[in-house]
Amino acid sequence: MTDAYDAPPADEIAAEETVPEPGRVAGPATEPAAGSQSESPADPARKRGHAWRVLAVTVLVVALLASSGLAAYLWLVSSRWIDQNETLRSEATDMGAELADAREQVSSLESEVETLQTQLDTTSSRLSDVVNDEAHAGDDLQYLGDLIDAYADCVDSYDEVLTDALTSGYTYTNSNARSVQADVADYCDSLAAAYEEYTAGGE
Amino acid sequence: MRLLPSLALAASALLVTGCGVLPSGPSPMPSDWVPTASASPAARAGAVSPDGFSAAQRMTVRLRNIGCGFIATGTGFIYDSTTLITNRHVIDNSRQIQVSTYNGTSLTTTAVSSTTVADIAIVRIEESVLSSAATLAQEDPAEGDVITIIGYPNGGELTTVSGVVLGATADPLDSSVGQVLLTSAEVEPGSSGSPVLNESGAVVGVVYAKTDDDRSLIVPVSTLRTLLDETSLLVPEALTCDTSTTHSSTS
Repeated sequence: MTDAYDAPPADEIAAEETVPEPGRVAGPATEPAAGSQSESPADPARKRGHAWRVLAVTVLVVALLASSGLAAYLWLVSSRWIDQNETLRSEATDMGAELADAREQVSSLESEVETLQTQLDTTSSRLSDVVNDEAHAGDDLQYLGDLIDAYADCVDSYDEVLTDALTSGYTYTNSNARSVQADVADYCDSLAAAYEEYTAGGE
Repeated sequence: MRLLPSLALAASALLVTGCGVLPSGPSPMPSDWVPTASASPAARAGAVSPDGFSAAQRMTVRLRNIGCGFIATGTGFIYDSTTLITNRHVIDNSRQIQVSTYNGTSLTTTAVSSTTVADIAIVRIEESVLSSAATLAQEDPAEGDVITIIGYPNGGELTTVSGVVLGATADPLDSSVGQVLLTSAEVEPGSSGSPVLNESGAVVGVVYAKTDDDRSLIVPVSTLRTLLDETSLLVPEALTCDTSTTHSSTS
């Protein structure tokens, strides 16, 4: 920076003074120019000071503008956050009220569900009991039906044996006939035993 | 005069950095604060039906074998709308099979078939609206797996018991080709044909016997799958008899 304001060497100044400009009357060679006396040596320092002042003012103006912009931006952002905060508070309050209602309903419904679950368990258990009783009744019915059919066979067999005995009269001494009678008796006894077993199992 | 560009550069850098730390405005408010509703309790897996019975209970049926001079009861389970699975010995020597569900509904049987490969029988029923059917597991349970058995022990009420798989073993009754599984779950006569479920509710086997030390033997699901895939292994059973002794029992 200092180079721009350095004074030229004395011999160059002298040379410049000795060469008259075209169309101009040369003055005394030793007379200094009127302007050159006020610019040196204080001019460079003054120029530097002036430049610094301009720079400082520029910086200050820029800083002021930047600060103003920043402040405006922050104010805008802050306003937005405040607005949204208020909206959120309002929403939160509404939702809090709804949540309280919902919780109350849930509590009430849970109580109802608990009651219904107990009733359902009781009903399911009762249903199982009834189905079980029905199944056992079906088993018994089928069993006794089969037993009755078998007893009917037993009666028919005895009937046949009796008929044979009556029709054959005194000739009913055949060992084969007696064997048939014994088989029928065994069969009927087994039915009686089966029925006794059944009744004993039911007690 | 080099100071000016330097200052301008510094000011620009400060401006850029400053903008980075400046607070931004709030994002737009959402239009709806209510999150997506989760699945309702009724839609969750394993939920009970409206009548209070689980899917496993609903698929388990009681079989009455009206046999040749005897009546026996056993358990089975619904495989699909026309198919039940039970044990072969549950339907042995039968002249009629009667089936009832957990709520007493009677199902009409149309055919019965069994196999000598395992103690398994297939009972066909008239197509009806069934509330639940079994899902077969892809693999046999491993040793230590927890299992649940649902059935009608002693022809009584629908009952649930639990246990763990103790391991694979050769069939002590020689009723199955290949290995069967031993479990710690206690079963009774009448439990035969009960579905054995894993923790996911899938069928991993079928109960067919109990041991003297109150353990249970099950036909693994892999055997069951083979039988269902190879229908040629199943032989139709003739529901007739010509003897006339009568007694009652449970299988």
